[in-house]
Amino acid sequence: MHNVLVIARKDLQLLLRDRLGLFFILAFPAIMGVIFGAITGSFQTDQAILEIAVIDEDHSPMSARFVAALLETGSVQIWNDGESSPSDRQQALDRVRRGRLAAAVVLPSGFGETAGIPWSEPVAIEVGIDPSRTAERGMLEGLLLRAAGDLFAARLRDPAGRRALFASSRQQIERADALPAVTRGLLVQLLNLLQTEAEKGLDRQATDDPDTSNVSAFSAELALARVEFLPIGREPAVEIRTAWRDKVGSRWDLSFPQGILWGVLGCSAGFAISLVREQQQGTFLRLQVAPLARSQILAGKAIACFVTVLTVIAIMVGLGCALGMRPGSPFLLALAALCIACCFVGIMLVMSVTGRTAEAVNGAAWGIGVLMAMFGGGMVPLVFMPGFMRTISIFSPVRWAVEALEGAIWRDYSTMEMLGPCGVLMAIGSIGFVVGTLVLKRRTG
Amino acid sequence: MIRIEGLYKRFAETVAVDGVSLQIASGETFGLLGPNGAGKSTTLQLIMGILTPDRGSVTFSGNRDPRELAARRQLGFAPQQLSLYEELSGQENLKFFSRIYGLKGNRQQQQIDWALELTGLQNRAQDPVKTYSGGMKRRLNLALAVVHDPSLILLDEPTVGIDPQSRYHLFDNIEQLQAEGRTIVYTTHYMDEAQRLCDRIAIIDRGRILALDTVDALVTQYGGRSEVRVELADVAVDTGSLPGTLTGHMLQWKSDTPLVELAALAAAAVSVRSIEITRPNLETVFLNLTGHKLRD
Repeated sequence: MHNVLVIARKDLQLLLRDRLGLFFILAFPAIMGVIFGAITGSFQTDQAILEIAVIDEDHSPMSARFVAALLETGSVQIWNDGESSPSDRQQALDRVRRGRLAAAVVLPSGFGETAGIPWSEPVAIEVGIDPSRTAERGMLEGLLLRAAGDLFAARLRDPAGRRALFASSRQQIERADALPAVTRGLLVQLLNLLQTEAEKGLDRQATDDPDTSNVSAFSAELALARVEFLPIGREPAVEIRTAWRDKVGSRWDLSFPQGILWGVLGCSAGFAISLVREQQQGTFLRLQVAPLARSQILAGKAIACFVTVLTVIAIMVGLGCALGMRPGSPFLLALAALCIACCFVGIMLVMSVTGRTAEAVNGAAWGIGVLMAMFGGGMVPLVFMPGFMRTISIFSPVRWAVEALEGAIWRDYSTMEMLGPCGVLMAIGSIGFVVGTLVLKRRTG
Repeated sequence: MIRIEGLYKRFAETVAVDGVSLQIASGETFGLLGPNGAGKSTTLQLIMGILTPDRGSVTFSGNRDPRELAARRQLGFAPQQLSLYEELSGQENLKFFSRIYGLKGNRQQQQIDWALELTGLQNRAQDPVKTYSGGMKRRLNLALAVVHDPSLILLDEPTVGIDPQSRYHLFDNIEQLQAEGRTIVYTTHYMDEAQRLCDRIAIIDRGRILALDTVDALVTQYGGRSEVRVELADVAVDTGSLPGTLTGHMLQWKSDTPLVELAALAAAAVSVRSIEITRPNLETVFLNLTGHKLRD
């Protein structure tokens, strides 16, 4: 063990003397991780807001209410504040075509007359969406329906409007000769029942809360379906924009595991060339002549790499915390860091014996690292990947490393749950050490 | 000290070492001479236990296999390629390698000081190796081979690419190590080095030992005849009685007994302006044994 530590100390000493190498092993990955974290962080917050144009050609109180309801969702940003003129429609569609806006929503003339009345023939809302952003089409559709639901609630909330709505609806049903008399009777009864229930809800609200403008309570009474989002880990529910704003620092919880992994990949790639560099400069021959086993030489390098990887993780965690990351369990984070260091040290050892020149090893180390990151969720979060890529990801150590970090930082994993990813990481590290030693032994006679 | 018996090593289709057998006595300086690709470095690596022979054996005194870690402790090696950590200082390089050999504390510092003094690097010991001249790096290369006080030192072309001053300094260092009774195995391309430093020499080519003996014995056995060049003052003599061939005023011939022919010339009252006798040396032996053809 003494000799192993002597070699490790020497490698760390060499690393500290090589300022450019030190930059690329410690500082560069940290910078990369922060940039990456910033990018993914913004994906998860700002990018969720759709920038759209709304062309209000109706200019009615209901259309204005609709625009306000859209804004209240917190998921859209209206480019033109809903103000419109005849030329705005073309201008807005043109901006969508050029990719400046995600979509243009046109509220045609007459929209306010029937909007928010479920049983009427509505005037269609016209939507032009950027063809490259079809993934957001469903989201926009949902937001429009939600705003329409708000109009329905608004109509019921106004007593005069409510009475007029039910009266006109009752007249329409009674005048509908095409409907069988029995159906007409049933529909009128249903309408009466609905009116009675609505009145009751309003009376109850008036008793409990004299402030009749309490929209949320009223809307809850009339909601056709109620959706509640369950807390998963410490991730704020995505639809609650205020929660995101309150926890603005915690977006790093989600993005930093990936940033840390880039740091670790950079570090192991940097160390992978140290062995081949020793071979090239002849010092490896001296080490071979010395009373050392090959496994001791590799173990020395492994310890130096291990210490450096842990340092990189510590620096990245420190940066993350400074930016607002709050690890759920420092103990599990330390466990994850140890296992990740073991895993990538093993990978480093295998990579270090794959090539015969520093350039070849460096290229291979980065190439393999980028592939592992691509398939393991280090570049694009796994959730955005197609199914087959998610399946392939189980072969990438990056996937297990990200899971271990996320488990410790925000997924609230128990120690038992951490055993899965940590076990895989330790197994990869051990296999890497054995394979590295065997290959080195074979190559050096 | 070292016993090598029937050593054989093959790399794919190439036989690098083919049945080498020799013994090197304790305190002896043994030279391995051979053209490029002759098998010198492979033989050294087999002696050090870095390579495993296909056949044959190498044993150190006490019947030790060089692959044993304990046997390697008595071994010091200066590779032909400078094998130094350029970012570290000379002192740090010595510290690292002496720690690897288990030295520590006062003993370690004493050995480091001794190695620095031996190679004349005391004044630059704290400087990074990358700032050293070629000669200084060569001397540090030697210092690293001896810092742990080995009894057997293997030097693989230790004077390649350095100026004459550094070269002669290294000769002095090696002679000091010889005087301390260490066994030295030395490979070189420079015949004068081998002639000056080695007690015995093996000339090796294509993995085989072609000749093995002391320098004098090799010259006597394989050197051939001396070459004699005599410049005559007057060519109006009976050329039929002269040894060799006459070109202008220059008379030259090869002989095992040049003094006998020169005495005969003197007796015949041949007027001579100058005499030059070139005796065979190790280089002649080397070329006679390995041929003049280029080896690439």
